[in-house]
Amino acid sequence: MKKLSLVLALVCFAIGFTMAQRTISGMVNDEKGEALIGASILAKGTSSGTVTDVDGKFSLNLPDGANVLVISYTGFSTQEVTVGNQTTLSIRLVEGVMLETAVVTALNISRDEKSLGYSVQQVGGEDLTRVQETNIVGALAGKIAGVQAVTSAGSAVGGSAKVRVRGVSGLTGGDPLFVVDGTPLANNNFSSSTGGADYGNLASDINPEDIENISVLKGPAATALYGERAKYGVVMVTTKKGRARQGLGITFKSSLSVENVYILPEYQNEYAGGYDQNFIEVVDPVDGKTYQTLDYSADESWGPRIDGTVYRPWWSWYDDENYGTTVPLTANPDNVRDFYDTGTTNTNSIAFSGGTGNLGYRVGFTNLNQKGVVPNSEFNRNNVNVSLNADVTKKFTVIANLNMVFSNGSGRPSFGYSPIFGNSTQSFNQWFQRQLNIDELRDYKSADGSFRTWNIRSTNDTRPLYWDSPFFAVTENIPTDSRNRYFGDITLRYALTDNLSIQGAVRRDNFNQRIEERIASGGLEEAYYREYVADGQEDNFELLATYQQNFGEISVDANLGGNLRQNSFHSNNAATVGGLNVPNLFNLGASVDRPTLSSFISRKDVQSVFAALNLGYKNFLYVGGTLRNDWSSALPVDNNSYLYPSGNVSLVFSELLGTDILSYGKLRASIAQVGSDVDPYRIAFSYGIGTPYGSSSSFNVPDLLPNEGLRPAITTSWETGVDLRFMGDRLGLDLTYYNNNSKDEILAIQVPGSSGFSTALINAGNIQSRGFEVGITAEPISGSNFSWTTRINFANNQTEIIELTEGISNYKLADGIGGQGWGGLTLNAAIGEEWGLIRGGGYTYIEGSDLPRINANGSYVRTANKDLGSILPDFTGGFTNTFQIYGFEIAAHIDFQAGGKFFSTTKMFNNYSGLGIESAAINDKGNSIRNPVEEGGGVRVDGVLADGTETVVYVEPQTYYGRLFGFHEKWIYDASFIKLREVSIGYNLPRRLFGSGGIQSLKIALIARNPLLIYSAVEGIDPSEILPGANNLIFEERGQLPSVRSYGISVTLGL
Amino acid sequence: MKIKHLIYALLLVSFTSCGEFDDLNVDPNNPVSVQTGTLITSAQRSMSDVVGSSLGALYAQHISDIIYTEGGRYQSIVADFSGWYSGPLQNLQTVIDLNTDPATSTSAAASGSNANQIAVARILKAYFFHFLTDRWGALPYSEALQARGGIYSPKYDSQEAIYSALFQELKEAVAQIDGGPGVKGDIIFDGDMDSWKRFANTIRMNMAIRIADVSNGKAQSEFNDAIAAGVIESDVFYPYLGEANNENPWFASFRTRTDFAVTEHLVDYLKATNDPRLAKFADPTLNSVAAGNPIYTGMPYGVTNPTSLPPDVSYPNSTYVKCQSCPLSIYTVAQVNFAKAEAAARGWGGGSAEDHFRAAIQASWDQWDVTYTAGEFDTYYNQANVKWDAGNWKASLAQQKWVGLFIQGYEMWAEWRRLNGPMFVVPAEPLNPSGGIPLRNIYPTTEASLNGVNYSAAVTQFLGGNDSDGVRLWWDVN
Repeated sequence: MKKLSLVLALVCFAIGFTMAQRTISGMVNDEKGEALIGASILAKGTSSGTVTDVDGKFSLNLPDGANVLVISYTGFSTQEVTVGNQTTLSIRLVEGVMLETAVVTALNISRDEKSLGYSVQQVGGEDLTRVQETNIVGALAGKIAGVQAVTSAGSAVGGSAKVRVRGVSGLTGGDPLFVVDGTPLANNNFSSSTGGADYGNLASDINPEDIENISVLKGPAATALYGERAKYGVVMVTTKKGRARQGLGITFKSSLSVENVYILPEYQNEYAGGYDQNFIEVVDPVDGKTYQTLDYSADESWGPRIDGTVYRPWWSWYDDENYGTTVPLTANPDNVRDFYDTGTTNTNSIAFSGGTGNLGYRVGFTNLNQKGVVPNSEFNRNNVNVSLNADVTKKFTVIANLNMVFSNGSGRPSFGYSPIFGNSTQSFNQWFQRQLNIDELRDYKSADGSFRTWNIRSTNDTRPLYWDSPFFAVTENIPTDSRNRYFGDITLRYALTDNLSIQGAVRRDNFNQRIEERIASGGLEEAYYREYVADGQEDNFELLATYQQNFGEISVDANLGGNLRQNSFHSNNAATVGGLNVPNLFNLGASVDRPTLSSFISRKDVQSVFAALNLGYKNFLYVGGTLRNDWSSALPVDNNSYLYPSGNVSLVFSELLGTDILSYGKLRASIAQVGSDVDPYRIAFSYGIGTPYGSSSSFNVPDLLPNEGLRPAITTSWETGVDLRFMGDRLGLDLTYYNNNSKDEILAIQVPGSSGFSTALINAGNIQSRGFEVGITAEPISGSNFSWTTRINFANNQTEIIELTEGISNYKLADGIGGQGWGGLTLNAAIGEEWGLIRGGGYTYIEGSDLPRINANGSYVRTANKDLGSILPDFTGGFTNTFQIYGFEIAAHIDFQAGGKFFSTTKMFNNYSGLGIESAAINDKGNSIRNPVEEGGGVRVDGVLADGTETVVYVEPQTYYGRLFGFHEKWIYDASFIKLREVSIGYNLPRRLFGSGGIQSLKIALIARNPLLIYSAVEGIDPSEILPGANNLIFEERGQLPSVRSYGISVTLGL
Repeated sequence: MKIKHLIYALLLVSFTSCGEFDDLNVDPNNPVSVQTGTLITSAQRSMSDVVGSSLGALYAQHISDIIYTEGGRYQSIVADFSGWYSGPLQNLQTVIDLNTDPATSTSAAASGSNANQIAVARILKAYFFHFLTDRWGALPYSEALQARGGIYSPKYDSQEAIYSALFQELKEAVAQIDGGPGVKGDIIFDGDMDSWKRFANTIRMNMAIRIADVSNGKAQSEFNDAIAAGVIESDVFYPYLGEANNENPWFASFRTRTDFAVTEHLVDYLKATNDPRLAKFADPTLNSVAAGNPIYTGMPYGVTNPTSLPPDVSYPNSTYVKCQSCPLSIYTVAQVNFAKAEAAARGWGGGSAEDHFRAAIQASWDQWDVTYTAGEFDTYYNQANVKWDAGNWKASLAQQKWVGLFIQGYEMWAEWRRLNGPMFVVPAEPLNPSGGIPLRNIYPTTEASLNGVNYSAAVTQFLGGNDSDGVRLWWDVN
């Protein structure tokens, strides 16, 4: 201890010795040379700082030892400037993500980009909100190399969005950790992963309007300090803060866009509903006459030609004034599109921000209201953001962030193969009759209150067979949901010296979720009511000491910290069984039979200590390392501790070269490990609660064999990269290569069911994920009245299974729709193959022919369990262009993906049911395939017979597509796409127009979201929007809701 | 100095809650021990999946798909047996273990005497294994259900070995039933141990008949021994309740849909023989009822594209088959009498084959609540296409078993394979690899990857290298 005191005394002496203040002054401008008012200037490593005045000027007393200024301003990239011997500085800040110098890293520590031995990419808030994207995850699509965003369809108001960072770094996939101002947020998803309403993922509570910037930490190198949860990357959000500024500090922004259904499959409009091309002749019991009618019990369209024949439509069989009506059979090509409404998205936000020298505040309120294209679907979200930072004394700082989110949804549409709650889109695309006039279905209620539908059982039994009217579900089966949430932190920071500070933070994320689902009485399905209530909370108690000091040419930046994390979760799930005893009494007490009830409680604590040390030499060589130890309550008591290190190095070699062409050049490399644990209650044996029989309760031995010998899992990764900028930073190139091995994961590995369990929890596997990332930034034209900046990023990833466990060559990740009964589609992690391998039924080939094997009747010989490709894309990326032309700003953002397979149920049944255009195609003889084969119709099938003879067989289309049910290879598509996702044209009114009045700025923008799917490898489906709710493994589309296209206007007013 | 404080503070933050920390991982949601009777209840609920399976009824061609005909065209021929092991069989094995282990047997005795619980669990295990081996053939048996003992990849045993072991199990189980309290949670026999003895003997009797063609000696001795030990004297049903959690599966499938109808060639045979059971098996078609002229129309089996409208074909009967609490047969007196008829025909003794055959049909009529006079029964029985034909008794038996075992799908499918009758329809567009009527289920695809060595060995050893539905089971020799 004496030694330590001595060291401290020496350090203090050194500080005192060199302590001599000097004054530095300067000016901060934007790219166009306009003064930035209220930009923050901070002497790095100290608490000395100031803000620019009305003319953009500042003056600061610089404590010695501090040699770097950190300049930041809302909407602009933060810059660090080395002062050196200068006394006046002219600083130009740049908007957007280009040319970052300071970035937010783990634990919310802002660090000089130069010093990082790993890749971190940052996106400014402006780039997220430009076109009113409501889910921040969706807003990230294509903006960061190696970050793949998959969303639900645009028509799922407030629906889910998922990011994959660098492919998958764990066998079962996973989500990155979302962190807002240092507070980790839950990203649960209470939707189903296959169907029903999509309630969105919880990270979508983050209000894009409150975001200053987002950095994505991709490799474990960047994330070692967040521990196990950072295994899949970290999305770090920094919210806007207040600071001294001119004007009232009020910003008002209002955006309104209207949206319409964009992509639907192409339908045939030549054949009506039915199973064959003959009208059905029915003798009307009322008038005794014989009528031609259609087979309304068929939810397929193999029926008669739509040729104007006079017939009795479905509604003429209902006992009302239209009974007996006959009409000519005509096509309704737009019947599906006409079902949907025009939706609106309306965002209004107001923010008050400002401050004085030692106080900054911001209070923001945003209201989002979305009315979806599916009738009666609506989503509301109110966000309140309060942030405060106060320098109580020169040494003592208090920071508080509080975010409150109140959201509710009503009538969110069901996605997937979910006829029970009524996914109308699924019916239109999979089980429908093409000739139906949608307007006739709007009136789904008869005068007597009974419900009407096209899919009647027969002409004398007008009850629904498989489908209610599409308007029934969206009007009567309304699910509702609401969530109240608050999250934030209180942080106290005390600067013990100019170089050593200690900070304590208490962070909490708390949410309260309610979901109510309903099936109305009187429809096809039994009436039903379900109530799900959940509350989750995470507390983090964090203590962090930071030491920053320069010793001559060596800089030291060290952190030592501890964290206690406490997670708790409670839920109740209850649903009626056997119907409701009073029609439409949506109350659990109305359950006819014993309702299903279950409660779930979970608690988990993780204790951690960690340290980080970064050393810099002459601003060009940096070496850093971290060490972290976690103790998890979910692991066996005697094996619950795990320690993991990381190290990184960065060399800014341009400092050594001194060439003008290369304005910046950096080499970086890092290696890291990250440990992980398991969900609570997985190590000890307990029984599962079964369905009781009368008064006899039942319990089950669980299918999962627990394991008391589990060990923590360790992922090891390394990455290396180079960052090059040329010609005064006008051209930048950033390259990264990474390799990630996730070993000994805690997996519920499948075991043969005959062992008595279906899965066993073990440590197993080695999954390797590697790839490269390229980012190019350029400013080809740079002028005060015209400038053009462009950003391109793309990334490749390969995730391969190296080993599983002894005797197991494949880990089944999921079963596809219908399971074995629909032919056995599976998603797999198989040794030696890329992760996410789809297996299913497909074509058979024999030597000597490229044609598939067929039987004499033209049916394909099916090979089961065939490898049909991986769901992971070969590469992903984005392309953004921004033009400044006088006061106009034009921005266009494209994102793209190549490869990555998915299975489409929509496509399969679209043809199986005779709805799709292909099911009424013209064959090579020039005849409709629906014509009898003997008359030249039929689908041409080219194949090879068992004896090797190549042959052609014409097959009647209903049989042809019937045979292709569960014939997965036919319905596997590449999810490749190029999408123009965002376009905006904005105009900043010149400041001179407002004089010296209250208005500081006014910007008007025309915006478009999803204006154009430029390329897609699959017709009728948007492959970028196939995320099924809470699904972690996106490999099949069971009944995609339609994508939407929206256009709007946005006005931002600054006072 | 300050650094020291800092370290203290860090330690304080990190370890304040250590005592609680170690106890956090105790699951508050699920029990670590339960009454063993509740495991028996759970296993018995799975019997509904045997006797109420629509797939079984399709395979027996009792029932046809009306619209989506892929099921009846054998699309699901690759079927997973895993759930039977990790579900009911594992529960039953646990009942045996808990009643055997001295550390738990005392507390387990709250659900009945240890011996009685073990006996019931063994009998039920035998019931399920018999059902399973008759679907797939060779299966993991001797090494199955031992994951907790370290066997994750059980080897397959031949069907012959499984039969042999099950005969033994059933005999031993019956022998160990003691005078102690009967089992609790028993939803089939309510803990009546005498019924369990008879049930066990009935399974044994049925198994013996099944292997008659392949192992006549063993079959005869097991059969006679089982009959002598006492078989069921009243029908054993799965008792469904009038509530949605425990309702009849046919009721459930018809709650919102109308996917199934009674098969055309069954309806035609019942009509041709004026069988009063037609009105018990099927409903008249909705359209015929609406038109005031109720008739029964069957649905052709295994059509490729729908040929009939749902209201034009006969659904399973609303009073006897698909009401919410309609019981479904597990073993019936008719089956016992059919078995006795066959035993007699095979010369194993036990009276007149024809008398037993008549008794079997009569028992079936009684089972289906037919009211009739002796004369009416005689008229029915004496028709050429009903009456026992001693020269071709297998055909007589097959035909009447098909009717008498109505809706006992899997059992009838096994009997069809063994008796090669009655004539079944081969779908025009079959979806099973063999293209014919399946002779077994194909092993689940997961076995090749999860239990590859044992799977390959089984396919080579027991299936001639071809895991197809066209390969005959051990007892299927004709």
